[in-house]
Amino acid sequence: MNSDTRNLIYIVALSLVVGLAFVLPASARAGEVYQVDSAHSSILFKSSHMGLGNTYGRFNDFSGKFAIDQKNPQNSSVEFTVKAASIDTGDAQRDKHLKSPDFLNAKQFPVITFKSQQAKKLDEKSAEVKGTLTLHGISKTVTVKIQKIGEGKDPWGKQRLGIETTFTVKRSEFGMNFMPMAVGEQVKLIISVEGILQKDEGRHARAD
Amino acid sequence: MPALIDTLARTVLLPVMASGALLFIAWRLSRKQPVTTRGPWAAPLALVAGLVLGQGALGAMAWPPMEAIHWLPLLALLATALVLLERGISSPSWAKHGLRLVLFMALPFSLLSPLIEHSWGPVEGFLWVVALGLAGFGLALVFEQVARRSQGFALPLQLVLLATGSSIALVLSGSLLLGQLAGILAASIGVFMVLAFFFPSLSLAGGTMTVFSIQLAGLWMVGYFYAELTATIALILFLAPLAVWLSRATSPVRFVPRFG
Repeated sequence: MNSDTRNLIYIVALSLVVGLAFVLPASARAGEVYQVDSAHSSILFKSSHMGLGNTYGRFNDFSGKFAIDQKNPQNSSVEFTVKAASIDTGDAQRDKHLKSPDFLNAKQFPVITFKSQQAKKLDEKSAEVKGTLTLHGISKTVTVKIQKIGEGKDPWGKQRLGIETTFTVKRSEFGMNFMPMAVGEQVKLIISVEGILQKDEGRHARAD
Repeated sequence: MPALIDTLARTVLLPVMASGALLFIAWRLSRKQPVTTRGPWAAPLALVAGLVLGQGALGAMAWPPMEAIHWLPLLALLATALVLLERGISSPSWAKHGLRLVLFMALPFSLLSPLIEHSWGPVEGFLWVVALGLAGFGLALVFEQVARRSQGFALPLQLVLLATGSSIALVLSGSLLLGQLAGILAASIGVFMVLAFFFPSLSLAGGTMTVFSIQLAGLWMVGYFYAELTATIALILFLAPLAVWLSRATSPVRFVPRFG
């Protein structure tokens, strides 16, 4: 094989790689912004009750977006806003208590937010995101591991990508220290979201 | 320690011990003076000691204040400082009224500033602050007038009942914490009721009612704006002291309230 033939093979191979980059699934392209589809997303939490059992609940009203930059993973970002008053544990009386000044104080601090500061790709299906969680008016830096669940087109041709994270917060660190004997200090959060690719924002690297 | 005993210790025993200890010290320091002249400086101090220690024991204090309830002990301390200052410096009646009015305007302003900032805007916020400030000021005036005409355990008993009723209403509004804070208020003022059996000439006039009013009005406001205390219940609680006042009125003309 002479050098011209080798060069030709390299050029064809390079073209194929470049070409594939455009036909690969969405996450393979740089700077894609996904809007959270709240109908197919969940924010769940678990907390101990008197050390005897666990209480599970969810937040029903939230929004957010995340951007994935495959070329420069550190440019990927996540932004999330949750309405504190949308807490739902399946018991109206308990929800009223959780929304009161005893815990979330939802009227004074109506939203819970998370905004990423930096991201690090761990492997093809996971990343570590460090960001600021603001809960009950107190902001703390938290690091969460985000797992990719899957991606593909829905029946309407929209590109979707699902991610999930599980992490634990200590409620006293966010100024919620009432009833320490009845309600567990550690609250485990499970956030599972499905995002829809935003066509017009597809070239912006960051969600903000 | 079982939760119920722990709660009682924090919300009843501790405030009672703090208020009682302060009143005992005051009594030891000035035994030769009549109780009526001792009360004006010792009583507000004893009340605020119970309130601050009780709220601190519940872990509901923070500096700088983060939440509305964190302002309550600070405002009670400010009210006590104002009352003690008045005892030390002779001032005209209009100055006393003016300072108290400022104090009661500061109450809704500090408690409701997050709502003014994020929900209401300046005009609606201003109207709320003025209306609630005037209502709180009126409440303190009424209590003060009743206290000036009362001696013995009747008024402290009525205040204990009012604070206890407020505690129950606040618990039903969805906040155990607010209910416990009202319980601390009931326990702290309850000390005066017990003491009144031994000192029938005990009076709460001269400042104690200002401290009591600012705490009680503050709890109602937090309950209404941040928990789910209904407007009807809040109004009934607010009107209850007026019933106490009217029940003792002999003549509307002679019964114009004023601070001492």
